[in-house]
Amino acid sequence: MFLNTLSVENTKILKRRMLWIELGILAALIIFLYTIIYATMQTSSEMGVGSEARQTVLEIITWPGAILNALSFGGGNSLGGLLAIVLIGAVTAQEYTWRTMHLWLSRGIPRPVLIAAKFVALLLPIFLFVVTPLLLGGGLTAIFTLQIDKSLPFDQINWWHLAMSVLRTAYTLLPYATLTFMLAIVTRSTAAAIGIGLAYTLLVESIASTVFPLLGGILAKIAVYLPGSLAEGVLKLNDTAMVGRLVSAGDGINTVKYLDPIPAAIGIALWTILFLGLAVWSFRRQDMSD
Amino acid sequence: MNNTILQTVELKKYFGSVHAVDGVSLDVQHGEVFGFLGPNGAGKTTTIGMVLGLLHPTAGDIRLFEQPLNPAHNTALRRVGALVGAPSVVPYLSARDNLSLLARLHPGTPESRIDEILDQVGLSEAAKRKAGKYSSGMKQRLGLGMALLTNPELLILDEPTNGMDPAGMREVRILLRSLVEQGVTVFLSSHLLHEVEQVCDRVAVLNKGKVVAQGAVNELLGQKQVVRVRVPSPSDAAVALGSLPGAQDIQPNGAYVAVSGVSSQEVVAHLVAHNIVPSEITTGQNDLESLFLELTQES
Repeated sequence: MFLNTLSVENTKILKRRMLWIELGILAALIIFLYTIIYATMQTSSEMGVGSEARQTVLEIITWPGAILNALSFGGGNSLGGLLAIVLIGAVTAQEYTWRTMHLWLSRGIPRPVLIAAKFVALLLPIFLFVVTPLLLGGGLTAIFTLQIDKSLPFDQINWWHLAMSVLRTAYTLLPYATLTFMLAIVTRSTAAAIGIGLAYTLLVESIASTVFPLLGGILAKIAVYLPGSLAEGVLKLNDTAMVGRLVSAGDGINTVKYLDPIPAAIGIALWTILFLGLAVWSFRRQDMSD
Repeated sequence: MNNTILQTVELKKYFGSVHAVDGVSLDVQHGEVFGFLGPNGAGKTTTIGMVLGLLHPTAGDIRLFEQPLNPAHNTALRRVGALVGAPSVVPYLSARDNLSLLARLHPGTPESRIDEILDQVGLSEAAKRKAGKYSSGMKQRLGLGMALLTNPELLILDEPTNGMDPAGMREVRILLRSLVEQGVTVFLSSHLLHEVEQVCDRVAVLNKGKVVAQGAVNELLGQKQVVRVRVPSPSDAAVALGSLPGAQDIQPNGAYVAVSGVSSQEVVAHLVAHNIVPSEITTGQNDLESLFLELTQES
C-alpha cells in the first residue's frame, strides 16, 4: 500500500504546474545572474586582465569553481531552498483546502502510510531544486570557461565528490523542508506554512546566527546548533572536497564557529526527525473536519 | 452470518462543550438503503466523519464489516465508497486522472472501469478537462464516480444530488436503485425527504446529536394516521380543531387542513359543531416530511 500511495503522491507533485514554474524561475535567475556577472566582467574597466577583482569573478564563472558556486544556489537559505519551502507548504496544506486528505483517508489509507508517502514524495522536488542550479549554472559556466580558457578542466573535477556534494546540499535542506511540512500539517494553512517557513529561514535564523554569537554564553551555543549553522558545517566538506579553494560567494559577517561535518550531519538528522515526528504526531491525532 | 454491515454503538463526539454527537447507535444491514436524516447541525456529517475514519470518536464503537473501526485501524474502509459534502478532487487534474489516481490505490481496478464510470456519471465528454474548471454539478458527478469506482460494498452518500439539475438528480435516483439491485448497501443522508421516502428501507432521524427515531420507513410513518379535510376556511378550521382533545400537528394547507391523533369521525363532528362543514375527507399515513418536522421540533 505504501508504494501505491507513494506513486499517487509522486504523480500529483510531478503534474503540479507550480513545481515546473518554480524550477523555471530558478533556472531563469541562475542564467540571468551568471550572464550579468560575465557581461560585467567583460565590459568593466576595473576588471582588467590580471586584476584581483577579475580573478575573483573568474573563480565564480569558470570551472571548476563555478560548479561549486552553482551548487550553492540549491542550499537551505539560498534560492533553491526558499523555492522548496514555498512548494512544500503549498503542496501539503492545499490538500486540506481541497479535502483530498479526507479522500485518501476515507479510502482506507492508514494515516502513517499517507504521511510517510507524502513526505517521501517531496524528496524528488527537493533534489530537483538542488540539481537544477548545478546543471544550468554548470552548463552556462562551461560555455564561459571555453570562451575564456579555451578548454574545460575535467581533470580538476572529482566527479564522485561532486555527486556527494549534491547529496550533502540536498541533505542540508531537510530541516527546512520538514519544518515547512510540519507547519503545513499542524496549521492546515498554506499561508502559515510558507510564511513561517520563509520567515524562519530568511529572518530568524539569519538574525540569530549573526547576533547570538556576539552576545556570547548560551545564545552563542544555540547559534551553532541551528539548522543553518549545521548546514554550513556539513557543506564545509563540499568546499574542501571539490576544489582546493573556498569559492562560496561571500561569507558576510561570519561569527559562528561551525561544527565539524559529522556532528553537524547528526544535528541535521535530529532536527529532521524532530519536525517530522511532530508532523506525524499531529497528523495522527487530527480530526479532519471541514 | 451476521448481516450487519455498519454498526455504531453509543457513538459520541464532543468538541469542547459542544456535544455534536451524543450517543448514536445505528445498524445498517446488508443490501438495504438506510436513510440518515436530521436538520442542519444535528450531527449527521460528524457521525459520517467518524464512520469514515476522519474524526476521532470521543466515546463509543464503530464496527464496519464486523471489524472495529477507528482512525488508527481503517483498512475496512477499502470496501467503502463515499461522497460526503463537497467532492474531494485534485483540481489541476482531469476527471480521468483523478479516477486514475484512485484506481491506483486499489490494485486490480481495470482501466476500462474508469471509462465505465465516466460514462455512468455522464462525464465522458469532459473527461480530459481539469476538474477545477467543472461546474458544481459536474464536480458532484465526479465525486459520485469516485465513490463508485472500486465497486464498493457500502456506499455512503451525503447529499449526493447537491448542485445537480433535475435530470442529474433523476439519474442519481435511477443509479441508486440499480446499485441496490446489485446488492450494494447504501447509507444515504439527504434533505430531499420525498426521495428518501421513495428509496430508503429504513431511516434514522437525528436531532441535536441524538437518534430520535429509527426503523423501517413504513413502520415509522404508519404510527401516525393523518386526517385531511377540505373546508371553505382552512384557517378557521385549524383554530376550531385546536380545541379538539387529542388533535395534533394541525396544518392548514391550501384548501385543506390536516390533523393527526384523532379519528375522522371526531374531526367531522367537531368541525360541524363549529359550523364548518367539510366537503371532502381523506385519511392516510403521515409523510416523511411531516414526521421529520414533528420529531425534530419536539426534541
